[in-house]
Amino acid sequence: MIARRLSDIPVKVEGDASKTGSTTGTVGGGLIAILREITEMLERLARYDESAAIDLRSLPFSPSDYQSLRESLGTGEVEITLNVDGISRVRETGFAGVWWVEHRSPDDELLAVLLEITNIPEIVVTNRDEVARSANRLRDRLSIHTAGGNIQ
Amino acid sequence: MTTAKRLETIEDVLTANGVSRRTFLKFCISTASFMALAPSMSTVIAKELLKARRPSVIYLSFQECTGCLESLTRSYTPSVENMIFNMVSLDYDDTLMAAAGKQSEEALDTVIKENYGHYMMVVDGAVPLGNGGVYNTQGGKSAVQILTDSAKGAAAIVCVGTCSSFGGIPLAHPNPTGAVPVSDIITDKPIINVSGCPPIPAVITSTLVHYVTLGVPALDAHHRPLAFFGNTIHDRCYRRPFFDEGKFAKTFDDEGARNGWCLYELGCKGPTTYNACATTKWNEGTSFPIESGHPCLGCSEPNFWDRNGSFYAPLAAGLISSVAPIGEAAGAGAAAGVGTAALSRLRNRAKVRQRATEKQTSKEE
Ligand code: SF4
Ligand code: SF4
Repeated sequence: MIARRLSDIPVKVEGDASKTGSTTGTVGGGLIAILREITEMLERLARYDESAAIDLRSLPFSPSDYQSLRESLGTGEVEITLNVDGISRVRETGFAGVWWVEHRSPDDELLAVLLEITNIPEIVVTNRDEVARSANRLRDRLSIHTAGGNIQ
Repeated sequence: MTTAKRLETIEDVLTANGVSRRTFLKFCISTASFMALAPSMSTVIAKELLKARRPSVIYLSFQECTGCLESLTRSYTPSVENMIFNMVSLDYDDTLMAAAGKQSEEALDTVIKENYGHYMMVVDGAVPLGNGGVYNTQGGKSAVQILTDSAKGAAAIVCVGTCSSFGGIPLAHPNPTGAVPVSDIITDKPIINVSGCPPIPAVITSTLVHYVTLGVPALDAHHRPLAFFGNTIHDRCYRRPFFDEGKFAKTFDDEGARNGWCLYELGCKGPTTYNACATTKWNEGTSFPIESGHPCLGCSEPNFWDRNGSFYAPLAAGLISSVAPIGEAAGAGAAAGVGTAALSRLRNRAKVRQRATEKQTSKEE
């Protein structure tokens, strides 16, 4: 696999807060680094409309690190639950364009947790081929109806 | 099998089977995450998969117990039931197909002829060479002959299980049949070894998905996909802190065992065994052997049956000196521990059989 951009390389953050500029002493170096990365990604999204994502499971984060990351990002206006072969949850964080996305299996196992830096996560967007197919389906149903059938 | 059927893309098949695009995308996202690929790769996988022609797959079984196939047919990772069977065209599998005898031999010849140079071969089981290969014959042909003939037109070979990868139990001392792994016989084709006795189902399916979309994955020295065989069981074992503190269970029911201490002194082969059990786990992500209180047997390694004398004899101290530094392992463990990959039972195995049967029927038509 060829990494074409910085964001293609899974991020692994090492080191402690004192070396990465934390002043509070409660925010870990890993967290600062990831927030910087998100900032850069947001700038690229704003400037070039370029989406990016971070696989949160690829980070050497402890549960408390996740908690801090969640708290730093906060909650936004949008929360979407998708029923796609198991539940997927898409939540906008307090920073517009930063989405916290969780995918679960029908057995509620966590399949993936991503931070997506994008206008709208792709999984939410309706696929154009499927739009065309539903138009056909609806047209078929209407023709049955006009031919005297029951629309239900 | 008709030409039109061979030309169909994965997109056609998914559409025909009513798999929504979101379901498919979710599958790709989960696969990328499971294989530790960058998230952007999920889009690449999705694109590649949709336009890819479904590769024809020939599944050959030799000296084996069918445990590997049992494992595979219970997999659906990540989460999309039957997805793998939408993505490949399983054209020959003598265990799953309805045809038998002469009919099935003919099916194999036809698949090879029609897909020459393009089909993927999946092999489970070792191949006996003793006495001219008489210890495993099918339809009057020896396993070694079937393997050699079938491999000629294969694009790549995926060895599923420790037997086809490394010889496994058939090769164990005193190896009465002269069993060898596939790689001892076929040397001019790309070989991917997915070892384990059996391998973890998700590891098998993800390797197949990687092959279909992005080609042969990065491999270790034993030709195993690094994404799953890059760490030892010990690197990611949740009992590791006890190992580091020197707290060991000495018998299966002592205080240490009850407290969940390290199983090293009970013969755990975790430190020298590369596999994904500690992170991916078994049975829908329930647990793995060490979590059930039993040491790792080292089943995904060459010579696992003989290599350490006994499953219950501790590894020689020298063997674990090459283990990764603790910090590194702890970091990796934390990353992997956030969520276990999906391992769920293929709820309706009948579907698989039905598919194989349908395929067979369509061939006969
Ligand atoms: S020796 Fe076995 S039980 Fe102990 S930490 Fe290593 S893998 Fe786990
Ligand atoms: S824990 Fe060890 S013996 Fe058990 S399945 Fe995993 S690699 Fe094989």
